[in-house]
Amino acid sequence: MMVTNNKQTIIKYIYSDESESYKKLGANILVNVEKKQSNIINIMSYTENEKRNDIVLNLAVALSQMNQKILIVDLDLRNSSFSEMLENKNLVGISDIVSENLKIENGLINVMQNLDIMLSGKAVKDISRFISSQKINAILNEASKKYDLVLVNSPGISMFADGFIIAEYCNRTLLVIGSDQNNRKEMKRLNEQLNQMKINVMGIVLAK
Amino acid sequence: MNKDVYEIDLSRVWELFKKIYKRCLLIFIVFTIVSVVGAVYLSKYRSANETYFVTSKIMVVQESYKTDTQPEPLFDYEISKQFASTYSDIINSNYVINDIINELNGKITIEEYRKMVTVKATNTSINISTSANDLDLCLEIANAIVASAKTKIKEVMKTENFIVLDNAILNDSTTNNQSSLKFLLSGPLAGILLSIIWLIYLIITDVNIRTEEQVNEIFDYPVLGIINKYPNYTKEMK
Repeated sequence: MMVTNNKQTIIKYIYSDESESYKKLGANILVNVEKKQSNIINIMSYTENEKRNDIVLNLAVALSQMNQKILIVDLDLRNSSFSEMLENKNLVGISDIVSENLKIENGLINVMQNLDIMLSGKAVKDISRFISSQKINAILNEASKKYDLVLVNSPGISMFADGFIIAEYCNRTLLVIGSDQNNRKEMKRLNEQLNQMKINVMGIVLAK
Repeated sequence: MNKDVYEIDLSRVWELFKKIYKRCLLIFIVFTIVSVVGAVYLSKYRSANETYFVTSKIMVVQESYKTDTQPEPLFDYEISKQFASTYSDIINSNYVINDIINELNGKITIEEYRKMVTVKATNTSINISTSANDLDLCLEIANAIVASAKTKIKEVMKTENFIVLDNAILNDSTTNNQSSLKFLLSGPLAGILLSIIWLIYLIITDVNIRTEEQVNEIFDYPVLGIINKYPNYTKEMK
């Protein structure tokens, strides 16, 4: 049975030690977004091991502290960690909104001032098809009107193409590269692939 | 940058070492334990199967016959050599061997004796080598051979042109201990060597991206941020 989304806490997953690094990253993103007038950002990594979820969350916290109204949309339906962070897997997520034609507000979870999260929701059979649906695009566009920035957490692209599909809906893509996690050959190939697919990569976050 | 020049970043070597040092230590300990156990086993096994070697030496001294040109007798090398060969045949004969077996009160058979004893004439000397697992028996056989040889050669050749240089000398068998020591040392050395090889392999195959410069070299996109501390909330969740 699903429970009503209410205020949840994720404070123990926020790392104050590196808050300056996140603020700097947030400021760079804001400069870039203002120039391009785009506020849906796809955050993707090459593998799943690069702790992208931590970066998405802590970046969102830093941006919200800079008086930006932020929404995290978790579209990592294969390996979602945000519902685990909230320690409640029955909360309404984007898959429920799409499948049950719910309003976007039903999936919004306020975790702190200026920061909401929309979880991935219940498991979906055909993930690639689900992600390709126009409803996702519509939800993101609707959310982009209500928030200063929408950060979309998308899965690693080494195994699945979900991240590339999501990049099509988003104005910008932020690539997370884990230090000492990826070899040069693979990264050169990824760079070529991103160029060929004309993915609008705004920049890279190097996570050491 | 010149592509032919391969630069080694020592701080990176240290980082890689820190990554594997626990496993290197484990390899070192395992190899050391194996070598200690091996060396203990080897020394016990060898002491149980220790073979003692005793050598005896008889020298033939045949003087030359007096002639007009040589009134005083001198040591004749060639004839002594021939005598040495003949005497070694006598010692190897069943006639002498049976006498030795009798002296030993049948402690060994002729077949065993032949496996244990080697008699060889070298120039004017006869070298008798005896090997046995029992030191006392080894010495007893060696002494019996020399005693019997002295009697039987005199009896057969009617001459006493030989002298016993060594009755029975026990050869030093330190080689067994040395090989145990080598085995003992080889374990830790192999452990260190394997760790070094592993570290070199990691250095050679270390092609992962780590720095902002490397990211800039590969990607056409700017680095917007560097997160130095890598949070790992999954540990906290457990």
